[in-house]
Amino acid sequence: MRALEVPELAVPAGSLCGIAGPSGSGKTTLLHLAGGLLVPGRGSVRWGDVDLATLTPGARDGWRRRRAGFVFQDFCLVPELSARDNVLLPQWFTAWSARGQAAAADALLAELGVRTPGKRAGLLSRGEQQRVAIARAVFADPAILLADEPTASLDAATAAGVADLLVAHARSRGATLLVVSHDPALLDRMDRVVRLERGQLA
Amino acid sequence: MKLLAMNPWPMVRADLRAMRGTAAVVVLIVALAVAIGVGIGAQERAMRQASARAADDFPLLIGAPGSQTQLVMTAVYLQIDAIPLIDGAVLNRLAADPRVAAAAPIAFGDMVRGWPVIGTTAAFVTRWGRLAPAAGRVFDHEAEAVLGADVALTIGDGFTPAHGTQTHTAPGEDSAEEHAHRHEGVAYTVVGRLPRLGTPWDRAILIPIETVWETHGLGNGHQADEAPLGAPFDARAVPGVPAVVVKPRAVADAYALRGAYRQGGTMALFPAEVLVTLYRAMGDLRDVLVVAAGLNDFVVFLAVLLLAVTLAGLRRRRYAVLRAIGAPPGYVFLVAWLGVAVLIGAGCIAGLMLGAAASLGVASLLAGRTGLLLASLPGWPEAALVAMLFGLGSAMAVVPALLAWRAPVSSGLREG
Repeated sequence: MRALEVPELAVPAGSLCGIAGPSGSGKTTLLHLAGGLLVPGRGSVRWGDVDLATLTPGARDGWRRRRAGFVFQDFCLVPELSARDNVLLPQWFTAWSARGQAAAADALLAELGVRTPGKRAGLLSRGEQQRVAIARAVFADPAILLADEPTASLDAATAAGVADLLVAHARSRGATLLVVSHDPALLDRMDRVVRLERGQLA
Repeated sequence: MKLLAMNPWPMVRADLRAMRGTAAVVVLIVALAVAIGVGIGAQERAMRQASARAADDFPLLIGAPGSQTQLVMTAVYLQIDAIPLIDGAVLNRLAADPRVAAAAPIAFGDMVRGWPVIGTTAAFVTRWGRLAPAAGRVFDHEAEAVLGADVALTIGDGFTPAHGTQTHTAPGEDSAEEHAHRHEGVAYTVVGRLPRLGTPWDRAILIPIETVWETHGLGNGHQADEAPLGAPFDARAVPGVPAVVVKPRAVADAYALRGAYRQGGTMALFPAEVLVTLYRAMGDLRDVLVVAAGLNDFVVFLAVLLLAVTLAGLRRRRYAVLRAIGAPPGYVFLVAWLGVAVLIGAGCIAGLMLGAAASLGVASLLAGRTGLLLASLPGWPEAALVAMLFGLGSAMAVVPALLAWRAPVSSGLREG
């Protein structure tokens, strides 16, 4: 039994694409394939000239680090680290010190409305935590943004604000945005929405 | 090397902060496990060194045939027991023996406020010239006494000894029982104090052996009442003595004397020989304790390993998120491994300190009971043990780190 069967899905660079469908339809699996967290049993996942399915695990890690940013439903921050250190966290994967980038992280957090970069992430409001998660995803200016239910655990007003940030950031940087969501307000702002039913494109 | 360019410490600190309660418990149980091993090793070694040092002043002991251990424990460690006497004439034979550099009788049987009163010669008080009093002088009259370093009397004080060797009170305290057995009419004045030797003799009060004999109605060991103190004694007048310390002229003489005085109503022994036997018994006991402590360490480390594996399982999503945002598997491995290794390292260091503190406490207790001064701080063997335990713990920490390293990212992200 195959969890997902997608003959072809083309997402133009710089476009915003929503993925909708009932629970268990394969939305998150598709997002994980797009982000190189999973490799397809057959076929390919191609971003430009790069086929993620043919890369080694290490090369996929490197590609993801350089080219993709992830935003999760429940933020997935490290609550014991400050907002700033959460944003800088990916820098420590390849460098001993990220001190030189602290000012840039603070500026990005301020741009996204987080005024207390030194405060522990676990002590921030849910809206602020999701803004920190977005800042972490976009800090390295990735060409691809992948978001899994980014507004699902937020109230309507906060969800709208987070959707504004994601869309605005993707538009301003020319990044491709792939969003899994049940949120009609967010999906309405996508250039295109694909629907999945039982692992198939509807 | 890519691993060297990574900085896992922010995540390690975050992990430790997140589980600070569990971390504190892990450090504590590792520390307790390590402290047991450290304490046993340090204490056993200190006991050997201190007991050997205490026996240095007793090259050859001569006593009545019986228990060698009892003779050594009584004469060297002042765990005084009623031991049979040997004919005092032995002293004259030894004085005339060319193989003997010096010989001194030791007599027990009295005490003052719990401190044993030992009769001997002025020559042995100074260990035949090796020791000088720390204050005052050595006795040269019958009613004079010299104190060991730990006796809480002062020069010029007077005292009356009581018959007996056992007291139910701590040294320095009066007891009604002692009062009931005092040698009324016998008085001594303290004229000197010896330096600290780190042996049970620090708690002894030393008096001329002649007065011990006289106090017990046995004469003074000399032909004339006013004879000078110390050797030579009169073979016909000298009473029996519990033990004689002999300083042979040479090693060969020591062995010859030991052979010669193992017959004819005497027993001769090197205290070191008895100690070797005791050490062998102690060694067996230590081996049992070391094995028990080793098993204890193993069980504790196994428990820590299981806890670490459980924690790694609970952190699966956290590590999956790290992977999703670009962390290579090696980074996750380092975070998981260092988190456990840091706890084990902290536990080992705390255990070393706890073991040292426990050793000092036990040493103080033993010093109070036996007078043996134990230098029981952990040494290189204990440091090596701790390093080995840290190495073992760090190696075991690889298991949860490998589990974190191999965990699939996608399924980890789906865990809520």
